[in-house]
Amino acid sequence: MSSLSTVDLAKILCRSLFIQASWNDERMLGLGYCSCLIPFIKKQKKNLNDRIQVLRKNVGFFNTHPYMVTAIIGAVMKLHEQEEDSEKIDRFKKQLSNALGAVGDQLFWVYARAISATVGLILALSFGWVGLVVFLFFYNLPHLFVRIIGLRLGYKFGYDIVKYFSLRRFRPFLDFSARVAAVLAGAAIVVAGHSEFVGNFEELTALIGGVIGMLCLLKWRVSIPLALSVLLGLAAVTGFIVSYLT
Amino acid sequence: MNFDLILYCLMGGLIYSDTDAVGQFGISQPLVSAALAGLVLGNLELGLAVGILMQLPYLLELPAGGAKISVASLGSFVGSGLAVSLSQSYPGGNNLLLAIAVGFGVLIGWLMIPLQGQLRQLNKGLVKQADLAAGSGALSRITFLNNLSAFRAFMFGVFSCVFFFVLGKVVFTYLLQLAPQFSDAKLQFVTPVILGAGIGALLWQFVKTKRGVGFSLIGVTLGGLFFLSRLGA
Repeated sequence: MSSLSTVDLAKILCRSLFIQASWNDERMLGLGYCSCLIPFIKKQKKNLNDRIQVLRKNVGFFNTHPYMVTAIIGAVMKLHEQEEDSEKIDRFKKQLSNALGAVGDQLFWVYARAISATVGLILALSFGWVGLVVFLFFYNLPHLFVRIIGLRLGYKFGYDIVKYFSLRRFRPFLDFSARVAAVLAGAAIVVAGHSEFVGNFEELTALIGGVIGMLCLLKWRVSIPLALSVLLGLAAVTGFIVSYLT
Repeated sequence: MNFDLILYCLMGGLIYSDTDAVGQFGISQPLVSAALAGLVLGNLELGLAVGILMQLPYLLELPAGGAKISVASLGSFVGSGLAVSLSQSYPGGNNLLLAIAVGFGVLIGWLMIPLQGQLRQLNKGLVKQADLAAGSGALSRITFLNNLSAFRAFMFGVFSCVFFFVLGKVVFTYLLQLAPQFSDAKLQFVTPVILGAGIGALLWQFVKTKRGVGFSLIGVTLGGLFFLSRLGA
């Protein structure tokens, strides 16, 4: 049985970019995940019955973070190659998908996205479109790295991928990211206060009012769209009243 | 035929696809999507301003586990496009246009939630076909079904973009005609308040502990030093 080449892994990586295309409530990433395994199945499972067996095992319910999924794909391919027991593979897949889903949500949705967006925003407020380029760079670099490395290490180590992709491994990154995010939040306050959106003392007061208003609304568990609508309405009404009085 | 508008609508499809169907390379983030709308329609500065206002608040909405969240990507894209389009016929300042962009963008993002749910229901219809394909070992069929979903997401984005853009253009063009002498200064607080709301969202997420407060004060200091250095230069 020949192992997968770099070209095969590249094809699987490209397919992993489409893993969320068919997301649904019943199987979640199931169909997308199965689609990622097609190059592996074509190369390694020449017998029709073997193909059907692998497909049936991997078209069911599956869900994890889309940026971390390649580690699972690589590991599962390795285990199928080694002809491990299918029940063991299923259990491993489920445990790893739960763990990496939690890690991915924290690492990417909470921190990486916020950090890159805040850096991009600060630069956009100061230097214009340069902020967009920087944002896209900082946003894409980590997840592309994790996708590529995850696939390679998963396919190389199989079960032992958990040594490299676990909450314990990512904990230092998460702690560091939390600190960086807090620093950037502080810097964003200053940059926003000096931006083109704040031209005088009244507008600075409005900015502070927006901060406090949002914090209050979030404390009362108001949804983001409703909070923005309320603040937009209040800002408009206040503007009307102030211009009427002056 | 206005090629800018055609490109704009196709880009709407790409933006929606990037949201949660294909790639997720960040072009669906409000900062980028709004700026791209401005770039395509001829006013990058206005588009960038919309993106700046809409980016931070939506950081609190996490697409974890398939949660149903606002489609702020398409909202900011259409809002920004609408603002740029209206700016060509509205001679006043940007405050009103930004208010329209943010307000309409927030509304679109919220309205897209059930529509997105319908798209996910359509994808559910592929489950049986996928099972049949797996049962017969039809590898290319599995690939086809997944790619079909990607194409469907793209077309859904295109049609949603067209629908909401046309709707917004009709409604707001009519409303602006009713108030030709509207003073833009009356909306001077909208942009700083929305920007403040975004900062508030950021503080809410990352400055909850004493350590968080400490680090954010470091950030305030660094930000202050940055501005002092710019003043010096």
